[in-house]
Amino acid sequence: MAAADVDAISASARIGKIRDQFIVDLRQGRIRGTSYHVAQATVNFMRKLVANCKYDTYDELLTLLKTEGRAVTAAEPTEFVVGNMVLRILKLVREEQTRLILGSDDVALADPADALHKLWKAPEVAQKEIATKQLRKATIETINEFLQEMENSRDNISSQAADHILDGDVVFTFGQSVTVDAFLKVAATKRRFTVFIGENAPSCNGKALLESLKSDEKCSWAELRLVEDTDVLPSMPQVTRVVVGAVAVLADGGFVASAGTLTLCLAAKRHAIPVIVCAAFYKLTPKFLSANDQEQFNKLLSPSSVLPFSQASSYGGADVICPLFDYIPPELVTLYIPQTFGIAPSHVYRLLGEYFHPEDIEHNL
Amino acid sequence: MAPSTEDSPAGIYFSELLEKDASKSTALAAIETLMSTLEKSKATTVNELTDELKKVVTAMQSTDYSSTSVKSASELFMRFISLASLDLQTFDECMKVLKERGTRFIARVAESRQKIARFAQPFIKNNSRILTHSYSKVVLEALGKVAASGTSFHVFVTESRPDFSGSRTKERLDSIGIPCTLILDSAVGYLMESIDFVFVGAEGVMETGGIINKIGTLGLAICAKAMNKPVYVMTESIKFVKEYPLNQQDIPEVFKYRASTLKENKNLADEHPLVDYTPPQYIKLLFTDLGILTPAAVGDELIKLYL
Repeated sequence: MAAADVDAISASARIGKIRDQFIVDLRQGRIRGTSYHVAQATVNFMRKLVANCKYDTYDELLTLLKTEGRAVTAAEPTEFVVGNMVLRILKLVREEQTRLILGSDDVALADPADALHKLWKAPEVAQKEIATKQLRKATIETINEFLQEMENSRDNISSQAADHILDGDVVFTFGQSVTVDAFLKVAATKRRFTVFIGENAPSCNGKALLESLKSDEKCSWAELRLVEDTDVLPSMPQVTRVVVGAVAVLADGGFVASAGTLTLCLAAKRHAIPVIVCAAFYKLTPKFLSANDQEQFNKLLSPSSVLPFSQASSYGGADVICPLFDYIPPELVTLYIPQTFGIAPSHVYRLLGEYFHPEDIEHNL
Repeated sequence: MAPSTEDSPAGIYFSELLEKDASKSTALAAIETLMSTLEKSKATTVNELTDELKKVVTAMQSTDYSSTSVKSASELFMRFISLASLDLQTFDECMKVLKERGTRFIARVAESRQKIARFAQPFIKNNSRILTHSYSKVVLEALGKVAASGTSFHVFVTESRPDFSGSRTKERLDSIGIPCTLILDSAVGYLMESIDFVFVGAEGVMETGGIINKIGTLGLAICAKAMNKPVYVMTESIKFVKEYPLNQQDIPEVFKYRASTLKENKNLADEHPLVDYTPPQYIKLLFTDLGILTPAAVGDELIKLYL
C-alpha cells in the first residue's frame, strides 16, 4: 500500500473515532445536564475536527464539517442544539475565510447571501487560496470566542430579569429550566414577587425548581407555590406574567418546550397574560415545524411513568403515550429573551440571518 | 386578457412575451422588456436612459396585465439602475455594468420558482389536502415538483369568478395527474374544516407583508385563520412593492381595475374589483426565492433596498 493511502485511511479513521465518541456520549446521556452542555460538547467536537483533521483547502474543511455535522445531527434529531451548533460553526468558518481574504472585518458587505437589494450582484469575494495553517488558527480562535459567548449567555439573559419582573408580580413557570431558574433568582434579588410552578408530570421536575428557589438564601420570595398540571387554567386569573424556558426557538417564531407548556400558553392567552420565553441564542433553530408534524420534532418517552407496567394489563389494549415536547405557535408568545435584548417572535428570522448561512440551512431542511 | 389597442412598441413587446410563453410571470416579462430597452438604448446620459425606461413602464402599465406585478418589477429595476449609476464614473462604463448586471438579474429571477418549490417541498406531506385559489403559476410549478418527487396529495381549487381562472388551474393539474377538485367560491367555508393548509400566489407583496391577489383571497384567508389553518403564500421576490395599504379602499385604483376599464371612465362603483388586499395577520409564511419569510421580513427587505 502506498504511503499516501495509509495516510488517508488513518486520517478518516481518526475522524471516525472523534465522531463516534461524540455520538456515543450524546446517546448515552453522558453529556451531563442541560442543553448548554450539549451545545458546548458539539462546539468542542467541531473544534476538534478543525484542529486535528487534515484538509488542504477551505472547501475541503467546509465539506468535512458539513459531512460530519450532518452525521451527528442525524444521530439525535431531537437534540436541536446539536444541529444549531453545527450550522453556527459552518457560518463562523465561512466568515473567517472571507475575513482572511478581505483582510478586514467588513464581512457583511461581502456576503453574497440572497437579499432583494443584491439580486443583481455577483458574489464579490474573489476566491483566493488561504494557507490552511492560517485558516485553522483563525477558525479555532473564533470558535474559542464563541464558546466564551455561550458561557456568558445565561448571565446575559438573567441580567435583564428585573426589567421584566416587577414588585408584586405573580410569575407562572412550568417544570424546571436552568435558564429560568437563574432568571427568577436574579429578579428576586431586586424584586419581591410570587412564583407559581407547574409541576410538569410525569417527571415532576417543577418540584426540583421549587427546591432550588427555596434554598437560595439571597432571594426572598413573596410566595412559592407548586401547581398541579390540571390547575394551570384555574390559577391563571391570579397570574401577571408567564416565564418559561425553551428547548428550541424556531424560524417561524414558535418554540418547542416540554409537554404541557402549550396548555400554559393557551391559558395565558385566554387571560391576556404576557408570555416571556428565556432561551439562549444557541437554541435558535432554523427550521419550520408545525403541530401537525409531531414526528419531526417530538420524542416519545417510556409510558411507564404514566402507567406502570404492573398495571398495564388491566387497561387492555389502551395506547399510553408520553410525549416529551410541545410546539407552541408564535401567536402565543409575547417576547423572547435570547441574549442582552428581547425580541418579538415576528423578528426571530433576523437573528437567524445573523447566525446562519442560508446555503447551510437549505441543505439542512 | 388582450392588450389594449393603442399600444406602444414596448407594450406590444411586453404582451408578446407573455403570450408566447404562458408560464412566464408578468413581473419577469416586465423586467425582460426593460432589459431589451436598455440594450437597444441610444441614450447618452443616465437621465435620458431613465426617462426612456419610465416611458416603457407607463406603456406596460396601460396593458391589461397585472399592474401590481409590473409596478413592483419595474421599481426594482429602476432602483438597480440608480444604484449602479451612483458607483460609476462614465456613462459608457455604467451601461456596460448595467447590461452585465441585468443579465445576471434575469437569470436569478428565472431561477426563483425552482427555489420556491424546493422550500415548499417539506411542507407538503403525503395525503395532504391543499386548498388554492385562482391560477398561480408559482403554486402550480411547486405542486408539480412535489408531486413528481413522489408525494401524493389532493388539491381543491376555487372557481375564482369572474374569469373562472380556477378552471385553468384544474386543467393544468389534471394534465400532470394531480388529483384535483374544482369548488365553488362560496364553498370555501364548507370545505375549510377538512383541508390541511392553503397555498396562494400573489400579484404583489406589500411592505406590510400582506398581499394583493385575485379577488376572493381575503375571504379565503380570513376563513382559514378562523379555523386555524395556515395560509402560505408563494411568490417571487420581484413582486415586493413599496406600498402600505391600510384597508381595501386604500389599494391604488390601477391595481384594482384593468387599464382598459379605467380608460373608459366608467363609474367604478359598478365595476368588480379584480384584486383584494390580504393583511399580514392572515398569512403564516411566504415562500420566496430569498427564503421562507414571515410577513414581517418583507418590510425589512424593502427597507434594505431603499436604504
